[in-house]
Amino acid sequence: MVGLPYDFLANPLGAVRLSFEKAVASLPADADMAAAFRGKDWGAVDLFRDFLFGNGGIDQVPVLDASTIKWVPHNTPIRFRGMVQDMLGNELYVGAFKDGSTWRTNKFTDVSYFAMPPGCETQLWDRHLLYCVPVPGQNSWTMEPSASPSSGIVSNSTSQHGEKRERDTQDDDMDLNVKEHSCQSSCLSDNLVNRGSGSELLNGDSSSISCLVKIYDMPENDLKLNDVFEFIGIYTFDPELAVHKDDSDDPMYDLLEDPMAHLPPSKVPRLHCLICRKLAIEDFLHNSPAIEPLPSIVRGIRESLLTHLTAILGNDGVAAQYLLLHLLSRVRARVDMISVGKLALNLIGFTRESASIFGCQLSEAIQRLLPFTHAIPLTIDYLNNTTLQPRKGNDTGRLVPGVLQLAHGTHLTIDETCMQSGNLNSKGVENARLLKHLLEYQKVEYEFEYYKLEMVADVQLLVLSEAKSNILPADLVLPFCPKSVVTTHPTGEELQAWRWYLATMKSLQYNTNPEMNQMLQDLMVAAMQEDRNMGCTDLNRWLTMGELMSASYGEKSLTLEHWQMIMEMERIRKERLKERAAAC
Amino acid sequence: MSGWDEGAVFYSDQAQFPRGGGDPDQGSITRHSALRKFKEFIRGFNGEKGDFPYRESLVHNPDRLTVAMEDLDAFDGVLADKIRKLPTDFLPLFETAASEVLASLRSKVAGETGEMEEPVTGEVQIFLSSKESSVSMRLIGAEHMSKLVKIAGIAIAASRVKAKATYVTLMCKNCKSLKTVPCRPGLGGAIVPRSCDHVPQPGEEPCPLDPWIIAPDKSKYVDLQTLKLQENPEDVPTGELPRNMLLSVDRHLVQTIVPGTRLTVMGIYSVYQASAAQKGAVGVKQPYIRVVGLEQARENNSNGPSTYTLDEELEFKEFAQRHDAYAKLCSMIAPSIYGHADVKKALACLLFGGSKKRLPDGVRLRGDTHVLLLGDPSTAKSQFLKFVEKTAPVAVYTSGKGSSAAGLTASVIRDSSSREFYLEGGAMVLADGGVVCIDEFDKMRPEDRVAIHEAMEQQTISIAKAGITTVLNSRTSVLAAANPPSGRYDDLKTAQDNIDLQTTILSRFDLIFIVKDIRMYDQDKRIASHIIKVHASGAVASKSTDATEGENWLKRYIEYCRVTCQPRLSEKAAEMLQNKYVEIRQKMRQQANETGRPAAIPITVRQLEAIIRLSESLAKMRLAPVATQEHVEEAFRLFNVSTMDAARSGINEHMNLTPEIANEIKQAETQIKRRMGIGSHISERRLIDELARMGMNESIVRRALLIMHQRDEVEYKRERHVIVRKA
Repeated sequence: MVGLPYDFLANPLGAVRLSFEKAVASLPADADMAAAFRGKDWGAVDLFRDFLFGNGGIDQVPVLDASTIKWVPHNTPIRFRGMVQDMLGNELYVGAFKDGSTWRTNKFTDVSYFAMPPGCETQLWDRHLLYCVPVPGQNSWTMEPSASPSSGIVSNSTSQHGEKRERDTQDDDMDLNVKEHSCQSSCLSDNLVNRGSGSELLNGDSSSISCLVKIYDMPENDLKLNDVFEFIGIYTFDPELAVHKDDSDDPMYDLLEDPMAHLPPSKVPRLHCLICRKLAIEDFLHNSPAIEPLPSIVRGIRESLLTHLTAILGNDGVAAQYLLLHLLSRVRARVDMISVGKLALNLIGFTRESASIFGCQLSEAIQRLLPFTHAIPLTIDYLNNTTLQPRKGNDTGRLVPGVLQLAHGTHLTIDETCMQSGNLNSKGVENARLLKHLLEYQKVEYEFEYYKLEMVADVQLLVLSEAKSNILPADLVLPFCPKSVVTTHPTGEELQAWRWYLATMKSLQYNTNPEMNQMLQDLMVAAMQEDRNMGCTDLNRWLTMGELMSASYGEKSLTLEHWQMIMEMERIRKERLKERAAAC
Repeated sequence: MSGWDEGAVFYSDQAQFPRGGGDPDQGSITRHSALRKFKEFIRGFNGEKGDFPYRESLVHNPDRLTVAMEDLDAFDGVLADKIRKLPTDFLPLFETAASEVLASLRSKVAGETGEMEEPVTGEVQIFLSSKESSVSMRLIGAEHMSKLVKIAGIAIAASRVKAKATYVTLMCKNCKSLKTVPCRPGLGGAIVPRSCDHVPQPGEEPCPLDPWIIAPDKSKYVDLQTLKLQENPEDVPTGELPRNMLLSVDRHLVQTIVPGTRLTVMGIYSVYQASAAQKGAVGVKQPYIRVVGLEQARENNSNGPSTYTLDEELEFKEFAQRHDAYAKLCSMIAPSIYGHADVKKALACLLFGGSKKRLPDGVRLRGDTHVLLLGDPSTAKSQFLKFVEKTAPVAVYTSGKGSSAAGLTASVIRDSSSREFYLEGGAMVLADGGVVCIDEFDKMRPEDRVAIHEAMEQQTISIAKAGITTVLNSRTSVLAAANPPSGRYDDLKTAQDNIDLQTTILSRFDLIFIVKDIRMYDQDKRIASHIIKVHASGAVASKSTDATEGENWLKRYIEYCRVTCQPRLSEKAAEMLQNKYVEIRQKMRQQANETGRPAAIPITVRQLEAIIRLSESLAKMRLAPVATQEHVEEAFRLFNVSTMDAARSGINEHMNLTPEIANEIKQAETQIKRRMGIGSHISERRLIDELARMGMNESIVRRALLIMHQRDEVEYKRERHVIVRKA
C-alpha cells in the first residue's frame, strides 16, 4: 500500500475523485454511465475500508462530539455513534456530470469540487437520508473511549458529564448523575422530570450533537429506525454557510417544504457515510478488561455483582436475585403476541422515604451498570404533560421524538411512588396506555396522524411503587423488604467487570435440549396439578426466569439446578405477597 | 389551446429526452404519426360491448377523458409503451389529439342541425388509469425518472390552489418587444432567455443582458395544487418509517382530494430544483410525481385499508370456497391460546358479525354479536379480548374496573384498602362499527352497565352533560370477560351465584361461555409443551413475521367479508329455526318447573335473534349470500355449548349427592358452627384455611357454607369476603 496517491485523512474527497476518474477511464468507451455507476461503488469504499481497518487508520479518525465539533475540519473523515431517530427518505442528487469531456462526481459531498457548467450532461443518483441523535439515555461512562482513567468512577463520570453538557449551560440541572449525598426526599423524581424534558430537547436543536447521515448504495433494510450505529464518513459542517432565507419564496412551494429546511447545513452537521456498522452493547464498554468467559470467572463476577445489588437494595437478597434476572432480560423472539424473554419487574412496598433512599441508590446503580438508562416519574402531571409517543409532524416532515423512542436494550425505571389521585386528560390516558402497551407487548405505537404504526421495542422495565401497579402490570411483583441502609463504593475495575458481565451474558444465545424440555414439561404439569391458579403466564414467566438464571451463570441452556433456584425464589416471593396481603 | 403541456423542447434537464427521439427497436413513431394514432384510438376503439367508449365519453364530458392503459395496450402496444416510457412527450400529444377529435365531433353535430357555427374546441385533459398493481414508493428511484409510475398511499396534506403559468409572456425592458415562453409542466418554471433577440436599429440602444420582465396579464395559467402522499401503513417494512412523496395535480384534479384519503396515483416521476434551504448543496433535486390519473379508495371509513387488489379479491373468494374454510378461520383465531375451540368459533362469529336489518316500521335490528366469557382467572380470557382488539377493523379495549361508559376524562384513583392505583379510563369513545372489548365486566359500576345496556340493544348511547342530552351511535359488538364473584367458577354453586349479573344484561349476550379451567393432565401437558415450544422457537429464530402476516390476512379478510357480504336466512333454515326454538322453550319451562326457580339466563326472542345472527355470520365467513340449514345447525350447536350450558348448569346437577359427600358436608357444617358463635363474623378465606388445616376439603367447606347460606344460617358481607353467622 505504499505510494498510494491518496491522503485519506486530510483529503478523503480527493481519493474519491481520483478513484472515480480511474474507474471511468477503465470503462469501455460506449459504456452507459448510468448502468455502470448508479447505485454502485466503484471501489472508493474499499479503499477506505483498507485504510481504516487494514492499516489501523480508524484510530486516527476523530469521533464527533461536543468537543471535537469545534475543531474537526470540513471534508475530513469522522466517526459518529448514534441512534437512527428519523428516516428522511431518498434524496436525488447530481451524482456525476460532464465537465467538457471528463466526467466528474459529486458522490460523498454536498458541494461540487468543480463548478458544474450549466446545461451539462448529468447523472441523477440517489442516497438515503437518516437523522441520527445520540442514543437517548446514554450514560456518561460510555462516552469517552480513551480519555480519563477509570479510577474513582464518581468524579470521573461527573467531569465527563459536565463536559458533555457545557454547551448548554442552562441545562446544568439536567445532570444525569444522581449526586450521591444530596438525595433529598424528592431527588429521584426531580431528576426524572429533568431527564424527561431533556430528551425532548433532542429535537433538532443545535445544542445536541445530532447528525444528518447520508447513506450511499446500502440496501435500506439493513438500517432500521432506533438502531444504534457507528457511521464513518466524510464530515461537512459549515456554520458560516448562512441560510439564504428566500423572502421572495415562491408561494407555490408552500407544501414542498422538505425536512431539510429544518435541518440547515449551518446547524446540523452532515456525514457522508462510507462505512457503517451496527453497534451492540459491548461496543460501548471501553477499555474493558479482556475477560475470558470461563465459568469460574463468570461465577465470581456474578457473586460480586449480586453482593453489590444486595447492598444497594438494603440487604434484600431476594430482590437482588430478581433484579439481576431483570437486568439480564431482553426480548429474544416474538411469537404471536408474546414477547419471549422480557421480564418486567415491579418492586412494591416503597414508601416516600424508602423510595428516596433506595430508589435513588437503585437508579444510580443501574445507570452505572447499563449503557442506556432512562427514568420516568409516574405522576398525574407527568402523564398529562409529557410527550411519550413519537409523532410524525406532517407539516415539517419530521418524526418528533417522544420519550418512548428508545434504542433496543434501554433500561427504563418507572417510579410510581409519587403518584397521587387526580384527573387525567386525553393525553394522560394515551400515555398510560402507551406505557402499558410497551410493558405488555414491547411495542410502541407511533402516531402518523391518519394512522398509527407499531414499532417493536426491547426495553427493560422496572416499576417502583407503593402497592402493586395496576397502571403498569409487570410480569413480576415483588414486595421489597430492605433491612438496613448500606452504602457501597465499587471500584472502577469492579464496575467494568460487571458491565462486561451484564452485556455479555445478556447477549448469550439460548439453546434448548429435548431431554430438559421433557423434564420441564413434567415439572410444569405437576405444578399445574398442584395449584389450580397456575396459568400460561406463570409458566411463561418461570421459563423466562429459568433461561435468565442459566444465562446469569454464563450457561446456554437450562438445568434442573437453575429451575430449582427459580422455584425457591418464587416460593419466597409468594410468601412475601401473602404476608403483605394479610397485613392489609 | 390544447397541449399546454407541450414542453418537448424544454427538457434540457431531463436527460432521457434526447434519446427518446427514436428507439429503432421500438418502431419509431414520429410526433405526427403518434398524433394520428391517438386520434384513431379515441375515435375507433371498440369496447367490449361493441360501443365506442372514448368517443362517447368525450361527447358527454368534453373537458376530460379517462383512458385505461389496458385499452391502449390492446389498441397499439407501441403507443402504450411510449406513453409509459416517455409520458412527458406523448401525453400532450394525446391531449391535442383528444381536443381535435372533440372539435371534429362537434362540427359534425353542428352541421346536421344546419347551423354552421364554428365549434368551440375546449381543452381535454387526459386521465390515465391502469389495473396494474402499484409500486412501492421505496422502489422508485432515479431510474424511474420521467417515466409513468403507479403508487398508492394516503394524502396527508394538500396545499392551496395556485395558478401556474403555462406560457409566460415576457416583455423586453428596452425595446418593448414581446416574447412568449412555455413553462415546463408540473412544478418546473419557465426558462427565461438571457438576452433579447431584437436586432438594434442604428441609433437605438442595444438591449442589455437579462432584459425580460414578465407580463402577468398576458400569460396563460392553469390551476395547480400540491399534495403530500404518505406510504400506506401496510406497505411499510417493519422497523422503518413510512415515506412521503410529493404530488402535483392540475386542472380538473385540483381540489378533489381531502387529506386523509387513500389514493392510487398514476403519474410521471419528475424532479425540480430544491428550495432555498438547499442552496448550499449543489445538485440536489427534489423528486415529485406529476399526477395524470388518480383513484380514490372505496368510500367507507378512511381509517381502514379498504382497497382490495384483484388478486386479493380472488384469493378471498377462493378461500371462501374451500370446504375447510370455517375450521381454518377458527384456527387462525388466537393461535397462541391452546384449546377452547368453541370460544374461538364464537369469536369468529363476533368478528364477522350478522346482517343489519331494518324492519318496515323503521326499527333497526342489530347485526352485531355480543359474547360474554365468564370464568376462572388465568384462562386466557384477556388474551382472547386482546386478540379481538388487534384483529377487528375497529376495536376498543377497556377494563370494566376503570371505565365509565361515555365520559370524556379519566382519572387515577387509589383503592383505599390495598393502596393500589387504578386507571379509571373514561375516554371510552365507543368504537362505532367495531368491537368493544370489556375486561372485568363484573367490576363495572352498575350505572355504567346501564349505559352498556342501551348500547348493546339500541345501539346508541345517551350522554347527559351540562344539561344537554345527546344520543350517539354506538353500533358495536361487545366482547366482555367477567370473573365469577368468588373469583373462581364453582361447580357447586348455582349458575345464578356464579354469574352474578342481572338477567337483563345476560340476555343481551348472544353467547355466554363459561370458560372453566379444567385441570386435565393431558391438557396441562399440552399447555406446558406449547409454552416450551414458544420459548424454543425463540431460541432458534424469530418466525414472528409469518404470524403477523396471518393476522393481517385475517384482518383484511374480515373486513372484506363485512363490506361485501350481507347474508340472509334461507326459508328452510328459518323453518328449522322455528321448530328448534319452540323445543328449547319447552325444555326450559320444564327445568324451571322441576327446580322451582327460573333459569339464570332466560331464553327469549332475543336468543332467537342471536341464533339468526350467528347463522348469518357463519354464512358471511364463506361469503355465502344465504344462511343455510347447515349454518343454523352450527349456530345452534354453539348456542347449546355456551349459553344453554350456562343456563342449565347449576342446582339440578348437584342434587344427587353421594352419601359420603353428604356426610362430609354435614361434618363441615358442624365444624363451622363450632368455630363461629352466633353473631360472630370471620373472613371466608380464613375460615376455609382453618378448616383446611383440620383436613377438610375446600370445596366441601364451600358447599357447606352455601347450604347454610340457603338456610339463612349465615350471611355474606363486604362483597362476600366476610361471613356472619345468624342462627
